[in-house]
Formats: sequence, C-alpha cells, structure tokens
Amino acid sequence: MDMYLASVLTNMTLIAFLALSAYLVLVVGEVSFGQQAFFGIGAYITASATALAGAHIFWGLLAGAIGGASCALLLGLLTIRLSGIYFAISTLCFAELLRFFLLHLRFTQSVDGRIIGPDGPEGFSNIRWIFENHYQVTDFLLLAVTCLIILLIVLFSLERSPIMLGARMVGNDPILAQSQGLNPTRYRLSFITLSGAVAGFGGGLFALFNTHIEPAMFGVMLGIHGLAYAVIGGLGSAVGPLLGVFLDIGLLESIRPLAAYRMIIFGGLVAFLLVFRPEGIISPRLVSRLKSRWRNRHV
Amino acid sequence: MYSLQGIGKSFGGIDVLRDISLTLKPGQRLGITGANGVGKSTLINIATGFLKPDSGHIQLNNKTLTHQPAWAFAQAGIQRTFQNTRFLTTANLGEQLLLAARAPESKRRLTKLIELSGLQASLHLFPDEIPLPMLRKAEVIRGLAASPEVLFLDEPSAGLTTFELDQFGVFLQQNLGQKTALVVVEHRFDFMLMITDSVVEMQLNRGLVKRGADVKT
Repeated sequence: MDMYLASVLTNMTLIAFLALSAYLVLVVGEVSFGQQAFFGIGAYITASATALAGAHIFWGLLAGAIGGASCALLLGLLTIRLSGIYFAISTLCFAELLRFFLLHLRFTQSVDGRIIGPDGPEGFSNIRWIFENHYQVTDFLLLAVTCLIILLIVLFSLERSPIMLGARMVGNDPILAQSQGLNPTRYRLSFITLSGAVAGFGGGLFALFNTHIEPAMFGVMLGIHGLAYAVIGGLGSAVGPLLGVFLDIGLLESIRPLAAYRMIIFGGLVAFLLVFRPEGIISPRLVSRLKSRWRNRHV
Repeated sequence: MYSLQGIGKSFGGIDVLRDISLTLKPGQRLGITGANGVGKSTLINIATGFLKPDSGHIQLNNKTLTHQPAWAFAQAGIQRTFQNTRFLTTANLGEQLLLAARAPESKRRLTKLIELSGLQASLHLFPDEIPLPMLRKAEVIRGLAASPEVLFLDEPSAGLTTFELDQFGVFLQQNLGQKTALVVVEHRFDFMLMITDSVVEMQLNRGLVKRGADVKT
C-alpha cells in the first residue's frame, strides 16, 4: 500500500476514536468541547507505560483508556448538575486545565542515551514502540483498524440493546426518560465515562503512531473537529461520526487540490447541515426507518 | 396501597396545595376535577415524583417515596401520561413501547395490549406521524405494560372528539386490570362517569372535596 494513503487512513482511524467519543456524549444530550483532553491523557499514559515502564502495548492502551475514563468520570461527577451550555463550557475549561497540567509535567528519564518522558511544552519524544517492534505504517494501520472494528462491534451491540434508546431518550427528553423509570444521571455518567475510555484509547494509539506528542496537539481545535465530525455524520448510528471523519480528513484534507480550501468547504458543510439536517447526515430517524424497512423485508 | 398525606406545595409564597391527602386501594378508579389553576397538574407532578412537596409524605405499600427522584417512582410502579402526549420523535413507536416493557412478563402484556388496541400497523411509524387518539392509547399502553400500581392520566380527553374519547374509555376499562389503581385528572364529566367509581373536586385552598353521590345520580 502507498505510504501516503496508509498514513491518511491511519490518521482517519485515530481521529475516528475522538469523533466516536464526542458522539457518545452527544447521544446523552450534551455537547463536549473537552474530548481532546481525554485523548491527550490517553496518549500520555500509553506513552509513559510503553516507553518509560516498558509495558506491553495491550496494557499501555488499556491504561490509556482507563486514564481517559477516570478523567471523564471525574468531569461527569463535577458537572453532575450542569447541562446545556454550562456543561459545554465546563468541558472546555476542564480540557484546557488538563492541557496546562501537561505543559508543566516534567518527568524525563534517560534510556539508552535517549531522553524520554514528558518534558513540559517540548512534549514526549522517542515513543519508540513501533520501531522496536518493527511496525510498518501498514502494520500499524491494521492494528488501529482492528481496534476500531472491535469498538464498533461493541457500539453496534449497544445500539441494538435498549440501552442506546434509553440514552437517546435521556438526551432528548429527560422528563420522559424519568417517567419510563430511567435514571438520567446514571446514563449520563456512564456514557461520559465510556466516551473518556474511547478517547483515551484512541489517544494511546495516536501516541504510538506519532512517536512524539506534545500538549499543543491536544488543543481545543482537535476537540472541535471531533465534535463536528459527530454532528455532521449524524447521531443515528456510530457510522455517522465515521462518515464525518471520512468527509473531512478523507476527502478535504487528503485530496491535495481541495486541501487549501478545506476549512472553507468544511465550515460551509457544517453550516449547511446545521440548517438543513440538524441531526446530521445519518440521523436517528433515518436509522430507525432503515431498520424497520430491513425488518419488514426479512421477517 | 398508595397514599399522599398532608401534601403542601407553594410557588413563590403562594400556596398551591395545602394539606392534601389521598389514599388509593388497588383497582380503585378516582377522578379529580377542578377549575383551572387550582393545582391539579401540580398534584399529579408531586404524586409521580416530578415535583417535590414542601411538606407531607408519599407512600406506596409502606415504602416511603417522598424524597425519591421521579425515575424511582416510575420503577416502583407509579406511571403517568402527559397532557400533551410525550414520545421521542426520533425513534418509531414500537421501539419506544418496547423500552417501557423490559421484563419478559411486561413484554407479553405489551404484545397483547398492542393487539387489542389496533396499534400494530402504526408500530413502525414515528410518533409525529400517528394521529392523536392512537398516541393517547399508545401512552396508556406504555404505562400499563409493566402492570403498575397506580396510573395517572393527565387530561386524556384533550384534543379528542366525543367518539374518540368514548373508544378510549372503553379501551381503558377493558385493560386496566384488577391491580392497577387509576387517577384521572379531567374536565369531561361524561368520561369520568364512564371510567371512575368516584370523583373529587379540587377547590382553591380547600383541597379535595368529594363529589360522589350528587354527581352520579
């Protein structure tokens, strides 16, 4: 496979984790501008675990996911009484707080004559896991895609269970949800925590692939892109955020003649969809309609 | 046995409910009527956990629910409908009814109720594509699926013609079951006489006043 294509695809796969994590928060009716923080935390934890502690990649990624989930749970608990714009602002502040924390985090070690570990604004260099294990770009792509597919299988089985409909109900109409005996707080906390785990896991893969991470990578714009992908793609299914990622990174950023106009087209697309299709391309209604049509044909 | 004892509620210094008490036995059918603004909706909201009373107790089978959140009321078997029917517009009716019936026994009950109500053909539609009389029935089915202790109906007649209301009443009578107590907040007396066995009137600052014998004869 062409190296350029493979790295674009890998990039798309990694950002898909971020978009899916934004999606999980949107499903329970909240907008988060802070998913990049969980992505960043996951990246730092996985990098530390593999490069500093020499952990196996599996444990490294798991630690990243758990780290992201813990931070998200903390944020969820702190904002338990907030919703709407107040929740959104809190997530933004929380994310910036974590980024500033990373800016001041210095914990370097010398391993084989190389300085590794988080070094403030300089970031975390020499995450050499893919070199040490002789991974090519395509090998890493395969690994990332496999992880994404596993995540999608989990999300799709969630989608088939009543849990997802309950979450959507909590997101759309908490009063209705309560009248059905659903506990909105529990749904919100679980989904925010899950979103942190997904972002943290993606961040871990991102760190391994990039071999160098720094706090500036996990700024607000990263989170806004992840959020926009979920909003554009639609909240009907986990396929939605993936479509959003594909449209922006796959088409606009990667097709070189278009890349210069990326932000113009992308911004226009967001504005267009918000007016004409506020629930995204793959909206919940569309998915519900397709599902019942499918069932009618096969029963 | 479900009971409200000495419920009081005020908004901004104005007493809306003062020392309201109410006891419901299984299978009892009670109608509550009253002028606009005497606090009927407030009473429903308190009785179903959506508002917290300033004073008083709410008990269901010796379990105190007073300070529980609304979802705990629903889980304990206190179900309600809304004045304007309340559904998600992003999922079809069938999915939403299924969400209300999580236990296998509730699922069986739900299937039976759907059959009896003639809603099968509408299950794949979104609630905003379904006519109001059907939605009213659907809301009652959603409430009855889990075989609740008490079902509160908040103005079920709103927007229905006399004929539709009649059909709704017949459906309700046939499917309430022995266990479920019913409370209907309504203005339509013909409907109340059809489905309830006693009617109380809510009066400003006087609470619930029995309207039984004089109305029925």
